[in-house]
Amino acid sequence: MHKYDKLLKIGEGTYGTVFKAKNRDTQEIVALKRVRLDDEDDGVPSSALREICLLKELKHRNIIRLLDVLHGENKLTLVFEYCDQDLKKYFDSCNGEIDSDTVKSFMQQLLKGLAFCHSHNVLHRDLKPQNLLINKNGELKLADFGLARAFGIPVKCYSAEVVTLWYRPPDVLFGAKIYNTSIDQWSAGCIFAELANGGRPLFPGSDIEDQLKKIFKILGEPTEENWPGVTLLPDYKDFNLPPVAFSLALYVPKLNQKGKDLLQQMLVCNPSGRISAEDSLKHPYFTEE
Amino acid sequence: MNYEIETISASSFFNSYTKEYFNETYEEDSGNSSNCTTESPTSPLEDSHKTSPIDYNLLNDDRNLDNLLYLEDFYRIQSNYFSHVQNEIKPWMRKMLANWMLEVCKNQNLEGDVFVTAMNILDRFLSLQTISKRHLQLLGTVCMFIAAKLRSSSQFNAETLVIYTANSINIEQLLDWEQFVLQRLHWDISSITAYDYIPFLLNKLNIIEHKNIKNIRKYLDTFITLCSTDFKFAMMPASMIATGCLYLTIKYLNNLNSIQCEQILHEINSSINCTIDTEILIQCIEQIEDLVRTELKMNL
Repeated sequence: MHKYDKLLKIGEGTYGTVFKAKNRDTQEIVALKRVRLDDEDDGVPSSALREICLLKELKHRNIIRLLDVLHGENKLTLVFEYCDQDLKKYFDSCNGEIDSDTVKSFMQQLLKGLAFCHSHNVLHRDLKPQNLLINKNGELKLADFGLARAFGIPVKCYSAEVVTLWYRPPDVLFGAKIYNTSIDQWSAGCIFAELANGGRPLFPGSDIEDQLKKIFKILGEPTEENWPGVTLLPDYKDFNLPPVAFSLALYVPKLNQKGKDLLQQMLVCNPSGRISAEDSLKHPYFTEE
Repeated sequence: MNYEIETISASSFFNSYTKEYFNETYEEDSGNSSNCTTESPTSPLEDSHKTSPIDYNLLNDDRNLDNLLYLEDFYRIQSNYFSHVQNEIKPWMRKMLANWMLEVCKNQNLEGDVFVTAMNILDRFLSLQTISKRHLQLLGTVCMFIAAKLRSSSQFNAETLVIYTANSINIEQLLDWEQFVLQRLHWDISSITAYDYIPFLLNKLNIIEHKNIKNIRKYLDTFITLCSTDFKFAMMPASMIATGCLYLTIKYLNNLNSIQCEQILHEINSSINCTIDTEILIQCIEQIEDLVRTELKMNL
C-alpha cells in the first residue's frame, strides 16, 4: 500500500470503496478499490474473486485494465487504470445534448468491449452508465465486473442481484432464471437510447411492474406468437395495455435512421430475437457513413 | 465418405433406447417435473440448477472455442511435480485427496466443474510450491473453497469445510491459505476445464437439446470427474479429455461397433477443429477406458 498515495475517495463499488491514487514511483494515477476481508468468515468475496480473475483474462482497450492486486492485513486492494468519469457523470455534465458522433463512438466502444467479453465466455450482467468509464481521450471502458459470470456457470435465482432495474430486460423481470449474452444486449440498447437522448433514460421504472409497463408501452406487450413461452415465465403478467401508439423511433428523435434500426434490433423483448454484440458492430449504423 | 458421415452421426443416435445410468435409478430430483423439456432453449421449465443456459450467440461463435483452445495450455501443468517439486507428496496421496474432495463436492451438491477446477488449482499450486504432507488436505480444502466461489452459484461455508476435514484444519488456516494460493498463482484461477468444451461439442454434434441430454451429461460428469482424480490426466489438454469423455459416452450409450466408433471419433474431433492428433486422442481414450474399468468396474 505504501506504493500509492491516496488522493481522494471516488465512490463505492459493488463490494468496496474506490479511491483515486498516485503511484509514488511512476507518478501514474490509478484507481484503488479496497475489499475488506475482516468482517467475513468467508474469505475473499466471490464477486471480487471473479472480477479479478476475469479481468486478468480480458485485456482489451474498452475494458478497464486491472494493474495489480495488493494483499494487506484484512484487506485486498485492486489497482485499476484511472478514468476521469463515468457515463452517468458525463450525462449530468452535458446538459441534455450529446452530438451524434460521440453517441456513435461511445456505442461502438461499448459494443466492442461487450463483444470481446462475450467471445471470452464472460457476461457482464450489470451494464449501466455508472459502470461505463470514460477517460480524457474519450475512450469508453467497461468496468465493475463484480456481478460478471463466466458462461458455463449454472445460474439459479440471481434475479435480485442482476442488473439495475432500468437496464433489466423483460425476460429477467418476468423471473426467467436462465439468461445469457442477450441480457447485456438489452442493457446496451437502453444505454444507446439514453445516449441518443442526451442522458435521458428510456425506461426509468420505479419498481418491477412499472418497469415492465414502461417497456411495453413503447415496445408493445409480448405475446406467445412473438415470444413463445413468455406466458410460462414464473412472474409473467398480462397488463392488458392498449396497443402501442408510437413506434420506438419516435422516442429517439435525434438518432438517424440506421441508428433507429439498430436500436430496434437490440430492444427486442424476446431474448432469442435480440441482435448479438458482434452483429451489432457489423450494422450499417457503424459501417456506413 | 460424405454419405457415411451423414448416416452415422452423433445426432442420429440416442433414438430407440438408451441404457439406464449405471443400471441404477439415478436420483431424478423427484420433486422436480424435469421431464417437461421443451424445445425452447431459454425455456423456464428447464432444470436450471444443474444445466447451464444454452446460448447460441456464444455456442455458434467460433471465436469462443478458439479462445478456449488458445488459453487452455496456460492452465495445464507442464511437468510432473512429484519428481521435481514435491518431496513428501506422492501420487497415491493426490488420489486419496481427490477422492475425498469429490465426495465433499457431491455431498454439497456442487457441480462436477467445481471439483475439476479445484483439482486444476491444486495441481498448478503443487507444481510451484513445495509443501509438507500435513498441509495437503488443507490445500485441497482451500482449492475447493476457491473453485466453488468461482464456478458455482452455491458456495462453501468456511465452517462447513472445516467440519468436513474432521477439524484437522481451522478457519484461520483456511483463510490464510486462500490468500497464499491466490497470491502464488497470481490470481490466474479461471482454469479451463473439460467442462468448458462440452456445450460447444454437444452443439456441434447437434445433440445439445437431445431428449437424452440428461443421461448424456451424467455420463460425461462421471467420466470427466474421474479423470481429474488421476494424475495422468493433469498434464493432458482439457479439450482432449472433453473429446475423449464425450466419445466414450456416445459409444457406451449406443453400443457402437468399431466402424461406427471410428466415424464418431472423426466427427467429434472435427467438431473441435481437429486440433488433436488422432493417435494421441486414441491413447487418451484407452487410458480413460482403463480408468473406468478399474475404478467403476464398468466395461465400455
